Amino acid sequence: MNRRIHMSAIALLLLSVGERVVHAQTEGTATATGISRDFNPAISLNALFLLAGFPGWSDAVDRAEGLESGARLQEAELQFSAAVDPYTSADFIFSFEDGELGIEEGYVTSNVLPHGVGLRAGQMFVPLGHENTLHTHQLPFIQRSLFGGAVFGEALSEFGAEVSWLPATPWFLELRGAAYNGDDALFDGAGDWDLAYLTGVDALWDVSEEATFSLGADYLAGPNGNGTPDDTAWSQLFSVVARYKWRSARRLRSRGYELLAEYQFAQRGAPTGTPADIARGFYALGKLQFARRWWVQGRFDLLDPSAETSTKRGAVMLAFVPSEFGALRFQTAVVDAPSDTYAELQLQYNFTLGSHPAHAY
Amino acid sequence: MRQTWSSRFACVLACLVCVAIAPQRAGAKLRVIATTSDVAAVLEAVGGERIDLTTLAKGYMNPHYLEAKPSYVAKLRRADALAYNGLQLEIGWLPLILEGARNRKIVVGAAGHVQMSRGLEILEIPEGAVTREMGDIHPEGNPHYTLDPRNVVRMARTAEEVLSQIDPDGAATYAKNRAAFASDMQTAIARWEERMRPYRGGEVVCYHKQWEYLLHWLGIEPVAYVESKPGIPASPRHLEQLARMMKERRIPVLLASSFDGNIEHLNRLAAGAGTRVLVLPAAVGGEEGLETPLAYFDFIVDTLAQAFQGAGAP
Repeated sequence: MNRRIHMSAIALLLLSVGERVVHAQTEGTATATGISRDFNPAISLNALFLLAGFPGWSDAVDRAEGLESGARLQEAELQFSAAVDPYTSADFIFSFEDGELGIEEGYVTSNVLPHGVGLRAGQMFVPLGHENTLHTHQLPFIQRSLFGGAVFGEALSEFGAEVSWLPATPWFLELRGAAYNGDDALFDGAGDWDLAYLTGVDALWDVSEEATFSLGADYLAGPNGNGTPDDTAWSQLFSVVARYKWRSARRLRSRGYELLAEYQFAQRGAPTGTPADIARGFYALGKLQFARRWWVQGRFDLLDPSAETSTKRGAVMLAFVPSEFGALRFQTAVVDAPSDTYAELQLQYNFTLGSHPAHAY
Repeated sequence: MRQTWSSRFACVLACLVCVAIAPQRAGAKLRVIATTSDVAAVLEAVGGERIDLTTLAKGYMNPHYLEAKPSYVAKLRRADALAYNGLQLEIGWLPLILEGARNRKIVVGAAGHVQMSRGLEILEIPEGAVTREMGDIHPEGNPHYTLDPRNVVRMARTAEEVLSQIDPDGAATYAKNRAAFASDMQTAIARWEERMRPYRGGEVVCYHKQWEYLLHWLGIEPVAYVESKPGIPASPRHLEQLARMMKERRIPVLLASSFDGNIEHLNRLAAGAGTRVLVLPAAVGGEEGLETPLAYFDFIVDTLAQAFQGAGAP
């Protein structure tokens, strides 16, 4: 919460500085420092309007899942991106959700080091698997997976530094390592300098001109507050992703499909002899674009598949995408939770204003 | 067993490090990446045997809509030069793969970062404010400049300059190749202009704002578009008005490219107006046998001339 308040102040400060710059330009008082719109960052706003209904709704489900029926602003994200200088670029992404303005990411990146080495430092989504790197407006479905929602709420975001390396191989291969503060609840109680460490790898091959296959794995571990000075307790997270993606070479704009599966694991360890808190998740999804403006998608989602508290969800989505900057998405899902079984109906309008960077593959 | 796995991992890592930092062997070809087949065709003509050329968007792919595949990142990672169309044609994917490649030889400002539109006369640069209400508009002007063969000749000059700067040992070869290419193209341009001379002042309808440079060169006017705004599919009302206009003005040709919408739909639209739908490859390599600018423009000019002739134009 404190971070949210601080970041709200920073965002307001940024906006007020921006306003002063505009005034300076309009009043023709540009200074010798060269105030000019030419160097303004690319600015964009993503907004999500959501209409949700839950047939067979019960208070128990309401409390358990934290869902809301009715119409609302699901989230708005404000992004600033620019080169700092020839060596570094910076990105800041603020989100407005449930009446609060907070920072999702704010980092600097340097991609001009020799031998394919990249550096990133700041507040960022931890590159743990596929889903955790996505902002809400990029999610393939309206909610995150059951695991992502239960373990992180939103994405796992940490302050830290990442180093990645792209060897000059004929196929795509990226190796990465990172150290983070370990501010997430999973690492709660650890000392100020007890960091969380990540190691990961991504590889992608062109199966044909139209298809790719990729594999990725990431492991994050750091001490938590459950341990003692003599018996450190560690929290560990693990993710493995496999993805196959096809897009018609001759009909790039209107025909494509994707199959993706991700296994997720989180353990908040305890001292020797005490059972650890463990969560496991798995989801598999398919997306099919069958016309220029139309997509149909499905996802099967599991949380703690082997436990008595297992939750399952099946979701189907139909998306109408009139342009690259707006999409109307209808999703229906059936959730089989320990407390209840219920259905979800949701309609989302997802749109972008301004100069928004292209999304990763 | 644990030691065995550790040793294997260390071996793999050591191999990767060697691959990553090994200097390029002397006398190796320049690794050049071209974002589109039109750009690639010019580089191939000038670079010849001295370059190892990779094309990202083949002639049958719509270069607006390529995806930023990580395999492209791997290609750019090892490149000595990147030549691209520019004017935001590749805005949806090139910045991502360029940033991801972490290759100092091809970053903005480096000798190997080559926007091929430099020095060309760009058409349709918007005046005043640009908003998305106007559709997929390009703030820097119409990016399809490679459809004027005179621009292709000018691009060859850019290719020669850049390749000679990166590979001074090959400067004489690049100059010789460029001169031969320019000579062949100039001869062909005179022939193509002569062939199309009877149809100067003619009118056509286009599907997308794709053919402006070609038509500007040939003196033919695009009077309307099937898309109601660039990149935005037409409404039924717009199509109805378009069909009526084509009939009234006796438009002989509707120009589309192979990745423009539903061709059957276009045929139905044009049939009532007596207009002929010409579906042309949008770039070099768009169809088999059209792998050079000479072959490509030969085909385009010949097909256009036949269509005008068939429609009873003079």
